[in-house]
Amino acid sequence: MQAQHSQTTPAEFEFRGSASEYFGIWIVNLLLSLLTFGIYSAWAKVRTKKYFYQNTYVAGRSFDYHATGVQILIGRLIVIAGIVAYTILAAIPLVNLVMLLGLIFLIPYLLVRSLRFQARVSSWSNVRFDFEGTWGSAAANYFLYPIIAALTLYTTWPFVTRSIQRFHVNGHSFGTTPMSFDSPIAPFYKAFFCSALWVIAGIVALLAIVGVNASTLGAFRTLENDPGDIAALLTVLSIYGFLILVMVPAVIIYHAMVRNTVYNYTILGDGHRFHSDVSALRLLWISISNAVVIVLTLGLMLPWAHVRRARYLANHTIFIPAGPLDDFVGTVSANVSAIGDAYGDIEGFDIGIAV
Amino acid sequence: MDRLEDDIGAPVHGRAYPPLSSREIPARLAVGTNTVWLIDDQGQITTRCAPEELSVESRVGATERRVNFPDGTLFLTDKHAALEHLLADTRGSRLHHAEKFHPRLIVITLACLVGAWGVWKYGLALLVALAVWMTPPPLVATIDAGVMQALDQVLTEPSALNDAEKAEVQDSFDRVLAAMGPASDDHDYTLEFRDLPGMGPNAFALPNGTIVVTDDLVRRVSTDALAGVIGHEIGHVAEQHGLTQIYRSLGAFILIGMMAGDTGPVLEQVLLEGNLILSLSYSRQHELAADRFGVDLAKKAGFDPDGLSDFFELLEREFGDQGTDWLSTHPRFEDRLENLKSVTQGH
Repeated sequence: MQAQHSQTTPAEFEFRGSASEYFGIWIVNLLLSLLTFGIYSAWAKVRTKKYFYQNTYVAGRSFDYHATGVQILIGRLIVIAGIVAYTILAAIPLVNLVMLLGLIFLIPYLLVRSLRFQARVSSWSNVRFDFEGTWGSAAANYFLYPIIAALTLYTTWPFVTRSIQRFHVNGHSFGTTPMSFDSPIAPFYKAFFCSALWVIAGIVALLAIVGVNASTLGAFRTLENDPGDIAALLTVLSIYGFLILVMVPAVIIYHAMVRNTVYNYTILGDGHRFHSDVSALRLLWISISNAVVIVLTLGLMLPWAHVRRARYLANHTIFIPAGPLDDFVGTVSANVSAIGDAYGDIEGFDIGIAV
Repeated sequence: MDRLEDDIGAPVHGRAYPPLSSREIPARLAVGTNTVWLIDDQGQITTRCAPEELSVESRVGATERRVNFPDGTLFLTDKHAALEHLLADTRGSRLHHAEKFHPRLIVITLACLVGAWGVWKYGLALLVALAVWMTPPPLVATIDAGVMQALDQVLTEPSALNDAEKAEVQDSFDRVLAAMGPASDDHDYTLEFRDLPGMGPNAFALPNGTIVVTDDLVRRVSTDALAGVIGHEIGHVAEQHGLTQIYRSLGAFILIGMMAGDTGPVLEQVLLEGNLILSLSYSRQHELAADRFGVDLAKKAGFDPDGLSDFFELLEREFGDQGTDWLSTHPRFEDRLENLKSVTQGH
């Protein structure tokens, strides 16, 4: 094989798309979606995914996305019909309770279906991914363990995160090649403490700037008595805004550090490994400056923001092969409906997958 | 190579993967009149098919073009012009052309800004009206029945009013309803009496036309004020504010979810909160609209149009104003009185 020499050297992830090229795709997608009252958005999603997947290369071979617009549209129509029916029926109190119980079972099911769909329509080097995680495991990871962690005042949250990542990575396979992830708990606690540190620093800064004690609590009381008091209102609002400024970055920092850990401890097949060295602060800077730029340009710089983020993540991810890249074998797996995926699109469940 | 005698045009070079395999081989595509061949770098034919069996994916940016053979072989090439020439395939090329970074995009961008504004301003209202129209009436009736049943179990007490008091209110109700003319048949308007301890003088309407007045309201306000309140509640039903609010917040949520896609972690939060505050603003607009509707109707039925204003003044004296208005479902009494002045004095 002529590619023998390159097989043991690390292969970098690279993103070859450009902001100007993606802008054209994005704006045409948006126009067609607007003109069709959102119907085209199913095809727009496919086109966007294809652009990002096909421009992401590892060892010179690209990913690909295979879902079709029709698939996505049907999934969305079913989910919208479901949400509308749910919302109207939720006005009836008893039915509401029954449906809420039903949702507890439905959500883990949709989550697994969503992951399976996303895996089966993704490929690299002509081999598709698959996901075989179970419904029960999803319910345990997303409902049971968080409740248990809450009982420990969230001090055991890193264990929940590690368990969720195990559920994700171990459930995935690349063709017939399994993926596995396991790691000591220390890196997860490190991420947890770093984001906790950010929260504490933020609250200290808040206290220093606003000067808590009497004046802040006073503002709440003043507002209760005299709702028209603008100064008190501003104080309360700034506290609220500041909390967003503290909490959102803490989550970003946590995700970034967890991402590194997950890549660094994931093994594909017999020993292909990955390496990620994303900097939490750098990613935080990218996220915040992206948001500011998007708002200032009425959303027109959204494509630039996406490309910037994708490029940063790709540039800090490496694949370390342990053997030839030509030997992966795919499987023919049945198509799975896009309902779970559509539910994720619209309701936006945060599955916390580290990509 | 004798089998390729009818080969037309120059071959297109690229790379190929056999079915279900990650094995990458350099290959070229050759097209004859009835056959397409994939040929590896040793000159061996890897696979072949009829031209119409070939599935060629449309172009996305400058990425390699994908060509799928029926047996599952995948061929990738970045020789876009040569491939299009060879297969005479122009599918998706107009879309690709429109997407090119070109001054034309400025026009598309402007169209998008106008379109986004239009969808937000009119399109959403149109979709919401359509959804309200499509909602089956029996379902709305079920909502009324279900809500009343639940309220009776947990919140309300049977009314302690005597029959004469009830009859008087029922009479006002019938008069106000009659003033609507034939439109009163659009919904199943019924009047219910309940005692809601601790809720003060209050009334509410359910989407199918069930209107509930509290004992406190009947005892404490004048007949004219009561007619105004009843008119206000009928206004909520007639203008379908309940369903409209449900669909409006849902519609905005779904539209943003589908169109904006992934907006990043920071903006996602901002959009979520913004949508909530916006839906409160619609609720306040609906209150003002129902106020105007109610006063107008009470006036038509022969009641004093200032009744509702008197009621708000009573509430304002008794409970004070509820506070900052953009975080509230109801407008301030001040604003409601101001709003009513335009109706009662305008005519």
